[in-house]
Amino acid sequence: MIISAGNDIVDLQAIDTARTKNPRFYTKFITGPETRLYSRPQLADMPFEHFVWLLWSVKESVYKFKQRHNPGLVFSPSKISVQCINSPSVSTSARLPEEPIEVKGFDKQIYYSGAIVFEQQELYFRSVVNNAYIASFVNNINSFENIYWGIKRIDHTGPDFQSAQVREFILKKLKQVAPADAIKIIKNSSGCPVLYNDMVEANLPISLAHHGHYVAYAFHLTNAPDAARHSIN
Amino acid sequence: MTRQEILTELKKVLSPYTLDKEALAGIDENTDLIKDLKINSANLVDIIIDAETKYNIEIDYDAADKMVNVGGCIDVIEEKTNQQT
Repeated sequence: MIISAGNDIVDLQAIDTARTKNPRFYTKFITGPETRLYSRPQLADMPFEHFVWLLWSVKESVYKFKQRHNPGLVFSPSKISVQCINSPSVSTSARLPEEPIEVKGFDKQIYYSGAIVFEQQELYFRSVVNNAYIASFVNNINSFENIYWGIKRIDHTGPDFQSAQVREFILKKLKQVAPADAIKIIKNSSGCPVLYNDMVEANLPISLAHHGHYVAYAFHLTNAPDAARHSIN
Repeated sequence: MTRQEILTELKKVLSPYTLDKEALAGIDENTDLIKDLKINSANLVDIIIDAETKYNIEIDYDAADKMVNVGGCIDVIEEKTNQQT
């Protein structure tokens, strides 16, 4: 099975709410059938602008997941079709941990989940939705037990700062769970971040995202005792 | 409008979404909006909407997919404005 990683984050303070709600805006990437998902009872409590950015973040995560193995892939959000959205079984606001959040896997009780179809393939997502940000994570199986992820608030919003912060954030975690001497992240020619150890590409796909005051990472690492060493060396 | 004229005007459309004014001043047809201008992908739709407003055109799904680099943006704007005349 191909392993990859794909994530995205949207800082809700950095978006234009009035513009988001304008059909001229959201119909650029949300199709008619997807718009109808909003009228389902499970999304009754979700503001429409959250719905719009939830779909955007899922679609962007799918693109990142697929683009790693298909560098020429064009981001066509309207062709990435969100099939269903399941809301958490308990109210999230009281239960979501404070940032920085660093977790492995997703408890369906407190996160949104759903399925996507892209190029005849079914993919799956988990999303963190609150009033500050929306973060999504994608996998090609409906299990996220091997996905490590993190979300952190940062002090400044410039792209160089965001980029440095998200790299520092993920590298710190990687050093805990997959110790190696000389890991670094290098963007390949198609803009995809790739983890290297001693200048050898590691078999450990990572995905990075930043927007406004938030950064987020995801990486795929299996549980087996030697997997970390094997993945990174 | 020539492609060069569209490129000059396009800088104004892109300007609110990039902090890298030096890179913006030096854009050419190969400039990638995300990789080179460090525009956040969350702003790609804003750019499409702003271009629609500025040129009084409508940019559909397929055309929007091409607007990832400056050359692609110019292609779409050129095509859509020509359709009006």
